[in-house]
Amino acid sequence: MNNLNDTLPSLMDRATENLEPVSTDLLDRTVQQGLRLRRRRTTLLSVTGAGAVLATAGLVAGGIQLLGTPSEASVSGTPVPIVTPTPLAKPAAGTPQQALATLKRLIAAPGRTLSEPTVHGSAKGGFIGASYLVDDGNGASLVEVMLSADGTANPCFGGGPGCTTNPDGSSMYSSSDEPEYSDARNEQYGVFLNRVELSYPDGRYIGLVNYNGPAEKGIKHTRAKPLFTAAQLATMARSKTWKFPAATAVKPSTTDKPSANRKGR
Amino acid sequence: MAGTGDFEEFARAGIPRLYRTAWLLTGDRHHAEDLVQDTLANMLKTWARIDNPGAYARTAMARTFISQRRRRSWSERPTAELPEQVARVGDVELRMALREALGELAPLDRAVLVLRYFEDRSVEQVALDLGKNASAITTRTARALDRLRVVLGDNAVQLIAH
Repeated sequence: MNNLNDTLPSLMDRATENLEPVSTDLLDRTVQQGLRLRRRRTTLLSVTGAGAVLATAGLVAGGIQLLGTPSEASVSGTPVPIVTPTPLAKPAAGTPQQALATLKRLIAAPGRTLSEPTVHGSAKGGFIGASYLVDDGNGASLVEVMLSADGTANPCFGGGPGCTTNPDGSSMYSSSDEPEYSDARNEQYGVFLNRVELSYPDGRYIGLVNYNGPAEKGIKHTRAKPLFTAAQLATMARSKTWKFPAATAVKPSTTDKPSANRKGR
Repeated sequence: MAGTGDFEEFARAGIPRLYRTAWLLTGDRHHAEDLVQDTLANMLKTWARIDNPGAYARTAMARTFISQRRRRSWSERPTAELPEQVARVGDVELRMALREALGELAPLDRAVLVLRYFEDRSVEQVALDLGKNASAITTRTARALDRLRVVLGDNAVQLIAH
């Protein structure tokens, strides 16, 4: 078998020559998902641009007020709104290991066993994540967390179902018993999830997802419902102990990392 | 769906080949569909700025695959799968054997082999695709081939002879 490098192309070609997608609507689903991503990106860039304009306007207005006289201000008769520029995300040095440690602290409890810790992402890369399998005796349940600080992951731009705005300006997206698949695969695997996504005005984002099984895809569920409710996940998300990665500039990506947000399948 | 005409034309023509590549990467039909969908949907998002969609799709798919594997989303191994639309019995054996063998490799090594031997990319091109240097790709290729030889064992001769 010394000539595998010569025969591998043929083997791969033959092994896949009759393979075709199972779904007849793959193209339609792809276009719909792509359009959703495009709309989200367009909205994000619009909001970012508007924010920059408002921030500039605020600085100019502030400058006018500083330079102007009180009499001039009274003559105008119209208060000049001072827009305080939203501060950029605070420099932070959250690491995947810190995210894992925080997650562990928040989900650990008597009677629960935690296993298979994983981490992914990097502070430099702009996002970090971690996960655990938690078992309370009723079946393993995967819990994942994703943190970023560049504002690109907020699912609540423009509001929408499942979104609420908090007094501090943050927005919370919450979803319960969401099926993993939107096709027949969900009957096969029976995977459901609870999910929350908390987005702060400065761009920090934290998403927590909990499944009713040990994996997101391809493995049958092990319990009727995810271990943690959306409300419990929301409480975890609001914890002040999360360390976020440093903010990265919002710019179009050529590699387009997959979003943490769910999409229709 | 205004403004997606060119994209849809590209996607319609490209999906069959992309799906085969995706299957080699994932070893599973449903995951392959998901990978194709994710890859193309992300391309639609920035479609106007993509100069070479074919090359972009290959690169994006490999990177998406590796990234998703890192995120543990697809950590499970495929279970039994019924063959579909198979012309010859030999194809089934070959497909199953190749899937099992590729499944023994790390995602990055798997991507290297698929890009090198299925997509016929050069070492330098694969290095650029995956953000590695050429020597690393060469090393990984040799290591992955060694592993495949071990896993395939005596079956390899029979598979090639089919």
